[in-house]
Amino acid sequence: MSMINYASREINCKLVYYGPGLGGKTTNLEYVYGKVKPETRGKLISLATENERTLFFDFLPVDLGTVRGFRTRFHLYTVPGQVYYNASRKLILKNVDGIVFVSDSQAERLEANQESMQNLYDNLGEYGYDLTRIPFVIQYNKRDLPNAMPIPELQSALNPGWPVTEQAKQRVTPDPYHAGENLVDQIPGGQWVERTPHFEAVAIRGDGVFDTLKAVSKLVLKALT
Amino acid sequence: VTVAPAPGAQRQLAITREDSDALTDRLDAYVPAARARAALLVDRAGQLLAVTGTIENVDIITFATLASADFNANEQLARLVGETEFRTLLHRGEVLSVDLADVAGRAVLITVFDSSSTPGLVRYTAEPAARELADVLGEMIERKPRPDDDAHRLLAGAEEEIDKMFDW
Repeated sequence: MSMINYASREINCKLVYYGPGLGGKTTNLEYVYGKVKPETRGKLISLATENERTLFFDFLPVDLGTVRGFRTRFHLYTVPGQVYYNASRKLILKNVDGIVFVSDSQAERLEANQESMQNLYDNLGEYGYDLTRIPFVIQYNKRDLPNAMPIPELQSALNPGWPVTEQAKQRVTPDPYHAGENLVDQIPGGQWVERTPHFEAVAIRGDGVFDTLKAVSKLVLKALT
Repeated sequence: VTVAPAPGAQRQLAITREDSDALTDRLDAYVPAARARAALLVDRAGQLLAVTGTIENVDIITFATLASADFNANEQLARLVGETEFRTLLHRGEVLSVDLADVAGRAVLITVFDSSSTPGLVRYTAEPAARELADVLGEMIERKPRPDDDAHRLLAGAEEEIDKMFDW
């Protein structure tokens, strides 16, 4: 739930980085922390185990600029990816405004990606949220690895599109981030589907990290307009 | 690049200047009564709603977020043992202690105190303060958006400005 504070002239929003274990969620936050000016971010807090696996969450507040004279502050969270930390994941999703799903592009992690995506749907559902109606982007991370799956295969598995039933929305909508691709499209058979924006990344060296953050933040703010 | 507005949006909480003053007034009255150093009101998602007093060298935003997560985890612990909630949570330190109390399931009242106060006094004064804060919060959440605090109106037509904001 975004919060607009007219007294302090701030808009606060909550973004959650979700995905399978060791997919690069914490790495995304670490890169952002290292790159933004210290005066525009707070501390990076990691509640992690002694071998640096996320136990509860990571947290980083960042200011991304002003709109209509209001400072926009985004609270970035990661969740623990390991399957048995579901209670923590669910807690962090409470009142979320936008989601980044960080998937691991490696072929052997496909099943873990799919399980995590299903888990995201289920956990959001328990709060009465619908993933198809929340600002949401997918990041395909670890694109530099030799066993990274081709993007079309990952898209088929993780971002096949959900049916668009609203007639007003049944029109071809180009993907602003990928020339020649569409976010809303009619598939063979006549059905209209919508996909969520996706980004390729090598988070460890920062590739795609800010593109992902900017896209989801923009979607969150536009959802308020 | 520009993107179309996202489909659907979560609920927003708008805090007007009057809301902010009303919450701060309650905290201003509570802090001396509890002999506390500071008190914070934080929503369940960890967003700071109001604060009175100071805690030296503490990043207040991070503090608020961690305290809220702490309290949310505490609530889950309660459910595991068959309670609906543990209404309070106390962390005792050598110099500073922190008391966390539920505010109508909507927020957490965080009290930071030292040896000038006691957990008992904090508890005794926090309960009525939490009830008052709950009333103010309840009014804020239940009321219909007014033209001057409606986020959609505030950001209406701001698409271009938002696009430019991320043009870096």
